Amino acid sequence: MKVFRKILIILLIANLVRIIPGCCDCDGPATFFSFNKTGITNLDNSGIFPQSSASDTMRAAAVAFEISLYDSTGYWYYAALPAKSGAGFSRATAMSCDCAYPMQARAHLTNISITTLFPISDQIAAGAEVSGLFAASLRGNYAGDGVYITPEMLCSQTENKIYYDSGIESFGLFLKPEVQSANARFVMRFTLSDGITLTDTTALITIRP
Amino acid sequence: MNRPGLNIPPSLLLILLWFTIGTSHASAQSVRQEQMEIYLHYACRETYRSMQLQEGDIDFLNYLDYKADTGCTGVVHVGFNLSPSEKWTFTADLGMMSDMRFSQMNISASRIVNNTGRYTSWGLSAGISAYPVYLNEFNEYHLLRDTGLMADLDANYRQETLYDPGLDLMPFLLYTKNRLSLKAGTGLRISSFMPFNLLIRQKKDGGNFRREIRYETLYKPALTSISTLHATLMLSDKPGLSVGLQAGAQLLFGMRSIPYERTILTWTAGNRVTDKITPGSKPFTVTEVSAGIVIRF
Repeated sequence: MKVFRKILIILLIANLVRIIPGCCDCDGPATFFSFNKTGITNLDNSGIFPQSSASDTMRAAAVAFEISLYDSTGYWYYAALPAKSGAGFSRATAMSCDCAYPMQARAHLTNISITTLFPISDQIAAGAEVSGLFAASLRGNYAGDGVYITPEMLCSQTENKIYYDSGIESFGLFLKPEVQSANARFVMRFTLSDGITLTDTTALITIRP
Repeated sequence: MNRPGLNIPPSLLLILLWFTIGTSHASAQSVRQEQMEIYLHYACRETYRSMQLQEGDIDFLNYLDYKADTGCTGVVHVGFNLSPSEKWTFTADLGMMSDMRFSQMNISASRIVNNTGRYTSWGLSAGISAYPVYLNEFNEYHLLRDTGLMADLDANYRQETLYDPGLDLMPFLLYTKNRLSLKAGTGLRISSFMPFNLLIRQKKDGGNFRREIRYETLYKPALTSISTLHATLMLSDKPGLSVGLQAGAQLLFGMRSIPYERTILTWTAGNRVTDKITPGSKPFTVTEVSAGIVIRF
């Protein structure tokens, strides 16, 4: 019996020892990248949740866009790179390490400025600054959780933000008033904390009531 | 690895059980010292409140047991009575509704103060009790009123369990003759509906507009009258293990309301309006009729 107990204890200790180095080391340092490209896609927000849309037609009360800020170098491929391992020696782990790679932007978003190229209503003429007429939502919060955030709140949450795997800042912008014109198009300027401004223009949107 | 004392053979357990029953039997024959009861009841509970028209602000009392399929809410009671002496009785009662979990617990202590006759006595009972009730489909208020909007983005059946915990004090009369005992009492109960939070999320159909309505209900203690009637008929009069039938009725009556704070967030969280709303008190009754079996030992 004593021999049996001893064997059990030895096996237990051996397994405990195995667990400790078997854990994946996912706390790597953040990789820095720069926002230097923008992408704008149309959103169909006529239903419960916003969905990406290939159509350039939107409802008058549901004009919405999804914005992406990213690094043209393509850091989102970084996550697909094979994990670095020590020369000649790789640790045994219970499973493959599914680590998320932390990334941080060198300069964060500080301001969003939006100019309309078409009149939105009788009071809002073409060329007007309309960023205050937009509400924002982070892409991960599209599932209808709560109300929108302001563009100012959206900018402030990018400060010191750690992006995992992708390094893409993606958010939705939703126009609050109904568009009374037949078309809508906006020029969007994104100012970063290092003073750089990225500019992009939405597609020409056809408005349907 | 032999551990003496842990492996008790079933035959020894039976002998121990027989010995225990035999001992209590012997002691009961001399002077009644301690009596225990376990009961199982099925109760039919009906909650009544006068409905308010769905105008103005929402009144959550309107949605208590709202659109319930049956006339009453079924409640299964499992309880335990312990009488260490003829004067004292302690009761613990668990109640389970259709959600199949014990959501109600009533604990009380009763003491017989004086004998008023050969078979009658009176006493006082005090305890804590909670009468949970379902709050059903309260989102209907918004579905009917907020036209042009997807009035509740939560497509699930909206139901909350609302608790009404309270303290009660009740004088009672007890009549005991042979195998029959009757207990009737009426007293006062002070209670408050437990606060709860509800969230309604809305969006314009075909538009970007979003709104969120948050309800946070508030404590409001209320005085309620409580009246009970219990009858027990033991099928055998023998000391030891005996089985009986029980029936009971209970009535709670009070003027109740559920005040609340309502916060409406429009477009963004920063654009909010908060109001405190106190609907008028209205008659509120809980009636419960129950029947079941009791095992006394």
